[in-house]
Amino acid sequence: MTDTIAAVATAPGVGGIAIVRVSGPQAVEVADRVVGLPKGRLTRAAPWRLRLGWAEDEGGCRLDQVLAVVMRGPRSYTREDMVEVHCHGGAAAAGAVLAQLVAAGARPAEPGEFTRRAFLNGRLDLAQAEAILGLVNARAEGGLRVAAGQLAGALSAEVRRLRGGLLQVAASLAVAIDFPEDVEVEPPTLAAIRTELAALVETGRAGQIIRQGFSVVIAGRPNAGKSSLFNALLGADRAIVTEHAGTTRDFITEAVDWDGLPVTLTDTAGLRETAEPVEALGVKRARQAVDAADLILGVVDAAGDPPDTGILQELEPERTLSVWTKTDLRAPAGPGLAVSALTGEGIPELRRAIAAHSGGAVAMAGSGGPCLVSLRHQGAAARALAAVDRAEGGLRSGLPWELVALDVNEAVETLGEVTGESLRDDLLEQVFSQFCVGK
Amino acid sequence: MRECDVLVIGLGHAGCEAALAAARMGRHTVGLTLSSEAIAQLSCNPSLGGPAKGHLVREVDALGGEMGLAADAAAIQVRTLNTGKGHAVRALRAQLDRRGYRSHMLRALDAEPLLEVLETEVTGLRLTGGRVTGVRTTTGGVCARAVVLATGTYLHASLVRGGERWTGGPQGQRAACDLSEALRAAGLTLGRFKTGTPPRLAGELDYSRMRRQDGDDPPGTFSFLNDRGPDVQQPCWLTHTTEESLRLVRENLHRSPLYSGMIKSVGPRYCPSFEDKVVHYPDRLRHPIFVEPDGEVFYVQGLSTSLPAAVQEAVVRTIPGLERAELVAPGYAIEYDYSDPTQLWPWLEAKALPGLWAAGQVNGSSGYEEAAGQGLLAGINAALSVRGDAPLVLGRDEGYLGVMVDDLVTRGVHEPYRLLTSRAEYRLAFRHGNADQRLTPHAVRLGLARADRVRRWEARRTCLEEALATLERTVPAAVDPDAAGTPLRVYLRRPEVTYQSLAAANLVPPLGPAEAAEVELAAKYAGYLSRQQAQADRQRRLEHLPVPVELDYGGVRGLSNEARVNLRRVRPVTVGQAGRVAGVTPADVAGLMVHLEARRRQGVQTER
Repeated sequence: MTDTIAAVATAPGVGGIAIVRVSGPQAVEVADRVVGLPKGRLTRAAPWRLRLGWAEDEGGCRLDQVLAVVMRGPRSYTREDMVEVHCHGGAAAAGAVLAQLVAAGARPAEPGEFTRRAFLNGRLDLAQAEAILGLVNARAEGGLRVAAGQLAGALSAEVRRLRGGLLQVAASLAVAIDFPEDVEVEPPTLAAIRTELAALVETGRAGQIIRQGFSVVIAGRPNAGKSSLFNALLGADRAIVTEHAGTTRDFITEAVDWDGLPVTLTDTAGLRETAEPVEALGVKRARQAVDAADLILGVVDAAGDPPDTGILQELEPERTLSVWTKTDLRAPAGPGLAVSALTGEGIPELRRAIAAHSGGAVAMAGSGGPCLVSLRHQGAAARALAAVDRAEGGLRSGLPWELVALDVNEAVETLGEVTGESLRDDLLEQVFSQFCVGK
Repeated sequence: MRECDVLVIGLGHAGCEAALAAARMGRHTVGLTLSSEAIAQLSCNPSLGGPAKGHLVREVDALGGEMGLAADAAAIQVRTLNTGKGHAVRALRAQLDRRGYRSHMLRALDAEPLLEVLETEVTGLRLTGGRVTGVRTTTGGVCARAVVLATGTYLHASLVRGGERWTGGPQGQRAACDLSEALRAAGLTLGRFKTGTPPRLAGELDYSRMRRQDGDDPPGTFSFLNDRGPDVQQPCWLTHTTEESLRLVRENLHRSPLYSGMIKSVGPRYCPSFEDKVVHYPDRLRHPIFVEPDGEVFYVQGLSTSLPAAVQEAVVRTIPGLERAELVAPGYAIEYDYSDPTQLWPWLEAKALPGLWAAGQVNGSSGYEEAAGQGLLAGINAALSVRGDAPLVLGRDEGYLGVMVDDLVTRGVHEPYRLLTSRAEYRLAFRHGNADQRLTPHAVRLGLARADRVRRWEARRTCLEEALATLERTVPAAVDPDAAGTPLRVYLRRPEVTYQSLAAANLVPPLGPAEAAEVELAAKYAGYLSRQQAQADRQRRLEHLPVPVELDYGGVRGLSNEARVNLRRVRPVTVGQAGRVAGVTPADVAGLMVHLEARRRQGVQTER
């Protein structure tokens, strides 16, 4: 328990706030690398006090406005140093924050690991721990069944294959070092495996969508027809629709499944300058939802006179799909998809366009090809790729093989975390099956 | 009946180290041998060292053992292997003169006033209340407070060549059959392994057809107490088998006991017989052969075989350079009993037979170096036990000795065990150059380091510490204006900068090549070293978390069946060791930790 773990603590897909927990000796330092406060730093923040700040990625780009609280051990759930990060943007934002914490040095927790630590450190008694672990395990299995079924087999086959390739390289380095006079070993190459491993790591993006849902946020001016579009896309009267601008004060999120693509669809308050305090709060939250979205539907009222396309300038073009509403009244006056919530025209096309923007997650879910769904697997693959990169760089710059072997072995070991195989068992088997040693 | 503190059965490489260590730790020690001819016999190859094995000899030396000194005294050629593959895997290998090696070791045994050597055969164990308290021999018996079993390949040994099989130990010695039965009767599980040795040659060799391989200039030494290798060295000769050699083997395969069904036991894959190489690697048209000087004869490394002698001679004569060689002693295969090493605690004492320690080939290992390492540790622990002190268990992060013993007692053996650098997870930390800094402190504490060793170890430590401290200074502008102000420690990471170049510029104190290499490594590989260190630190907590040996694994929830069965058998003493037992996953370890914590709290409650 000398490493630092992190996980989303709240149930996926429920509620507007999600909590990410970090626990371990480096918990505060790790969180400090991700959460920036307006004044001071998390490492010096007074414990057990909520602080408002921003979760940022490595480049300093803001992911979500968050509340963070430091709890110093032993006065915490696990009795270790802990940090809780409360994300406003819901599950998708929490996922992004967790990924950032992992990049900053935390390890994704195993199911039930917080509780196990709480027990081992004397916080819980066995009955309490077992009750909690039982719940955790039941939930983890239930959650996994959805995505894991068809994907798990393909993934472990692919990881096994890549690990096998790396194991061959590890074996040739091992034989060169341990049997220097028995066999001549050619310098190994890692380029092909590196490319394949990088492609696998790439599937993590689709995997994240399969795991957490593809977050689509509807944004636009007040009364542009966002809530009608929301209802039409859901096929249900979920949001209240009136003729009055500013009807939607808070955002509403619904989870839907479109042909295997889990989508969280969010309707937001219309974006405009306003002095009315409740509406202003809604606008602020709408902007946060927009910031955390995978895809934004930039809604323009085609019937407007003239149509107000200014909203499209306010949104990031790479993440935005322009959607013209009320096209039963007037045809769009610019590029983008035309829909009518009233007649239903254009809605199927819009759904297809959303799926097309999901990074191939739909295709991935349907194809049964390998895909990194769990964050733990994503983390392992990324660490393996980093190790392979170091090994490749080492081979190129003429680093001694004992150091190259260290990185290759780490890559094999790390991929073994996914397949449940260990380097200790396999390395020498590979050496003896690949080489004739014994001078 | 004769009495002693520590009794050592067998005086091969394990037995000699065990007996010397026990005697040097102030215990009255008796060493038993079937024949004084067999003491410290290099019964197979006339060489020592190589990757991991050379490191092991260095570690045995650093811990106060004798093998390094004996090897230095008998070396006739010394080479450093793996020079291009990294500093930590660089290893010494020496060709030895058998007689020189033996006579050094005999003198060392003779020099210990508390050590007595007896020539006799052990026929049984003396047991008192389940504890081993001595042995019965053909000439009576010996009572002892601790017994070290170091019987090598002698237990129920039989030799095989062609269609013939006869009972006997290596090099024309007798086998020990009664002892094998006695161990079985006392409850130990024995298995059977096979190994082999190549033919020895004499006669006229055609050196013009072989490649000469010379030793290093200057030659290195195994022992930290020596500075210079042999003044005069002898060459080895490299040649290879031919297609004609392969054809002869294939034609006579039915006459090889390995393929006729006579031998069923398992041999080492890293040291296969020539028959095995021909069969398993049919695409390889030639195999390397090393002709090594061995007194008046030559040892043919690479040609281990149990084919009939006439076939062996015919095969030898198909090898370039050996066309007119004569077979002085044909190769043979040897089958022997070994005792499953998972029956031992990590301090090499038998779990079922307190008072009995085991070391060397009887534990299923192979190699002189592996035997010596275990012998030294078994001797130390037998002596500590007699003194009533806690045993010495070296960690996997302390050296190859720790790796080897943990591998044996935790994982067991499926073929004769050879130490490899690949078996060590912290390989970078185990270097020829720092074996003394890692292990001599133990020797000092145990009373195994003589004054000259303590002096040299301290002098080296001071040297290294001073040199490392000066690396915190910065590069003066006069030396390199671009790097001015950079700490030397960082500057030294540049490929073109060496410690000696810094010393030449008077920036750091002068050091010998071995010490300079140590300091350079600390700077150049700092990132890799600290990564390994962090890994070792994480693991260390688990290595110090005890598991009660009487733990009922049936009561631990969530263990897989395989884990439960294996944990019951091995009975690990720490959580770290438990994690390495075959079939135990990280989830099993977590379950075990939860159980131990629950048990601890219950224990606290019942005490109240």
